[in-house]
Amino acid sequence: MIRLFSVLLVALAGIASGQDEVAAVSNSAPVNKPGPAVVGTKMKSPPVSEIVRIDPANAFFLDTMGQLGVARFTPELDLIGWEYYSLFQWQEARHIVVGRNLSIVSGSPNELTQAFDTDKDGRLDFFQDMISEWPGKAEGATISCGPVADQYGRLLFAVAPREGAGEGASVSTLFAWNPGGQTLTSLATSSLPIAEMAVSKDGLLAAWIQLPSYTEGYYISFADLPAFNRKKPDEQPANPPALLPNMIIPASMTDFKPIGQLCFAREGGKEKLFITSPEANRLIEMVPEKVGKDWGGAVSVRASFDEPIYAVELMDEGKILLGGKAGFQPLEENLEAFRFRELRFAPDALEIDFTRPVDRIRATAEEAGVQLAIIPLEGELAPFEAPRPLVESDGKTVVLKLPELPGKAIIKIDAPDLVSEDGDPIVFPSLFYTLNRPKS
Amino acid sequence: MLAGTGVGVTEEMIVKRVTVPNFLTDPVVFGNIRKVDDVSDSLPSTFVLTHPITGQAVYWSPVICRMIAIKNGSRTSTYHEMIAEGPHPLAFSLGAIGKPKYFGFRMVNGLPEFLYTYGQLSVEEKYRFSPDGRQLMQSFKVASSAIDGAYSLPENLRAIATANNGNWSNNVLMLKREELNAGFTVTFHLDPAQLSSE
Repeated sequence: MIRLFSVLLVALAGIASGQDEVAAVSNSAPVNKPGPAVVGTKMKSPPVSEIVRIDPANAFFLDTMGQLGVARFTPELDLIGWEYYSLFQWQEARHIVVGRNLSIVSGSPNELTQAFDTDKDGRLDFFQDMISEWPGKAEGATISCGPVADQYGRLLFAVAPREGAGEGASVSTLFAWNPGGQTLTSLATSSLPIAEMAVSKDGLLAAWIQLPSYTEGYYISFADLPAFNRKKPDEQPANPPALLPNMIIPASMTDFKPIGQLCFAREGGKEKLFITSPEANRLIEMVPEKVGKDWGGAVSVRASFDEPIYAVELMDEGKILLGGKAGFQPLEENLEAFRFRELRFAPDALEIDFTRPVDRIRATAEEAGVQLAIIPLEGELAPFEAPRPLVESDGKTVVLKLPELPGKAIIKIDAPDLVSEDGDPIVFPSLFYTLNRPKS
Repeated sequence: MLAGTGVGVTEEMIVKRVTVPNFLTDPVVFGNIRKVDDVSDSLPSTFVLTHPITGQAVYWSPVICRMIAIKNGSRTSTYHEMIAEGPHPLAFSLGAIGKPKYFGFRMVNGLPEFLYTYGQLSVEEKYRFSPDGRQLMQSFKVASSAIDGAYSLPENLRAIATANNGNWSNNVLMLKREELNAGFTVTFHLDPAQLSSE
C-alpha cells in the first residue's frame, strides 16, 4: 500500500499543536524536519477504539486490536485516508496521548509506555517503560485509567489498589506526571476505582467512579483540579479533592451495560461531557452545572447508532469525531435525530427543548404525554398533581408547571410515546436532571 | 505489514501485548509476578509473539523479564510446549543481583527486542521462529558485562536446546565475557508432533 502518512507524520511533527501534546521525556526522539503533507485516497475505515486529536484534520487512533494508526479528515470530518503507525498490537491500551515529536504515550496496568519512531520511517519502533513506579505498586496497585493529558501538558493516570487489598489500601489516587518534576503529584483521591476520565481545557475533571455492586447507574464525579505551579512542579496540592458521586447516568440509558469513554466538548456556549455507551450503541450527553460546591445538570441520550461506538474526541470547535465498530464518523449536528435538547428552569416551570417540533397531540396526551417525576434526594416532596404539558408556538419546547422542589432531587422527564411532528420516534424517551441547589 | 487490513503481521511475527489467564505452575515463577496475597489469577501485560503461519507463540513477561511459555500452534487447545520453571535463565551470572527491571523493547526487522537490566547486566533479548516453526531461536546480548556469565535451563528444555556459543555443563551454558557481549543464541528444537496448525 502507498505510505500515505509517512510524509504526513514528518510534516505534522513540525506543526503539531502544543495544546494536546504532553511534554517529552528526556530521551525523546530527535526533532523532525517539516515537509509537505500528503492527502491520500479514501479508504474503508478500520474499527476504532480510541481517537486522539493531533490537529483539526489529523488524529491518531487505536483500532479494536490495539494497533495504532494515523488518519486524516476533511473539515467536515469525513475520512480521507489512514495508515498504521505501529506494527505492534497494544491490546491493553485504552487511552493514548500525543507526545513531543509525535511520540505516543499509552498505558497498561503496570506501566505507562512512550513509543518513538526513532528512524523516521513512519512506524513506531522504540517502546520505553516511562512510568512503572507509584505509591502502592509494591502492594499490587495498578493503573486503572489513563493516561490523559491536562491543560498543562501533564500526564494524568489513576491508580487503584489491588482487589482484595486490606484496609488502608483502599483509596484510588489520581496522579500527575510532569517532565519537569521529580515526583508524581497526587491530584485527587477516590474511595472507588476510577474507571474512565476526561479533563476539560479549563481543568475540570470528570471521572467515572465505579461501584461494581451498584447496578442502577454509573456515577460521574466532577472536580476542579488543583492549580499547577510550573516553578514548583513537585509541589503537592494542599487539599487534593476527594472524588464523590455527583451525577448518575441511569442504567436504563445504557440498557444496563457499562459506559465507556468520556470527552468534554463545548457546544452552544456550554461545556458538555459526552460518554460512549458501546454495548447500547448510544452516545450520552451530560451538561454539568455547578451550584456552590455541588454539581448537577442534565443527562440525556444524544445519539443512537446501528453499531457500537467506543471513542469520542473533540477535533475542533463544534466538531466531534466518533470511532466505533463501523469506523470513524462525525457527530452530525445538522442531521440530528429527534431528541431532547435542553432542560431549563423558569419560575415555577420547566422548559424542555427538543431538536425538532413535537407531535402536539402526543406531547400533551393525558396518560402518555410528556411526564414529570421527581425523586427527592433530601427532604420530602409534597404530593403534587401531574402537570399538563403545554407546547410552545414553535413546537420545539414543552413547558411543565413545577411543584415546589426540594433542594436536591432527580427530575425525570419521560416521553414514552412521543414522536416528532414528522412522525419520527424519539432517540431515547427519558431525560434526567440532577438538581443541587438551595431550596427556594 | 498488511497495511490497511487491520492485521498487524510483521515480517516474521505478530506482536501483541495482553493480559492472559495464568497458566504458570511453578510458584517461584508466578510468585514473582503476582503479590503474595493477590487473589487475581492473571499474567498482566504479557507479550505474545506469534508465528504468522504455524500459530506457535512465545509468551514473555515484562514483570519478570523472561520467556514464560512456548505455545503450540493449535488454535483449539491451550497446550504449552514449555512453561517457565525455576529462576531466571541468567540468574546464575555474576552481577545478576536483585530482580530484573524491564526498560522497554524495540522493533528490529519486524521482531521485538526486549531490553532490561538485571543487577549489573544490561540485557537485549529477542526471539525468532524458523519458517517451518520447528526451531525457536532465543538470542541474548549482554552489553557492558565485565565478567563471565551463565545461562541455565530446566532439564526438559535443556534436552532440546543447542547453543552457538559457550559450553554446556549439564543444564548450564557457561559463557565468557566476550561471548556475552557479542551475543549468543540458544535454539530450541521443537517437537514436530506438537506443531499442529489446527
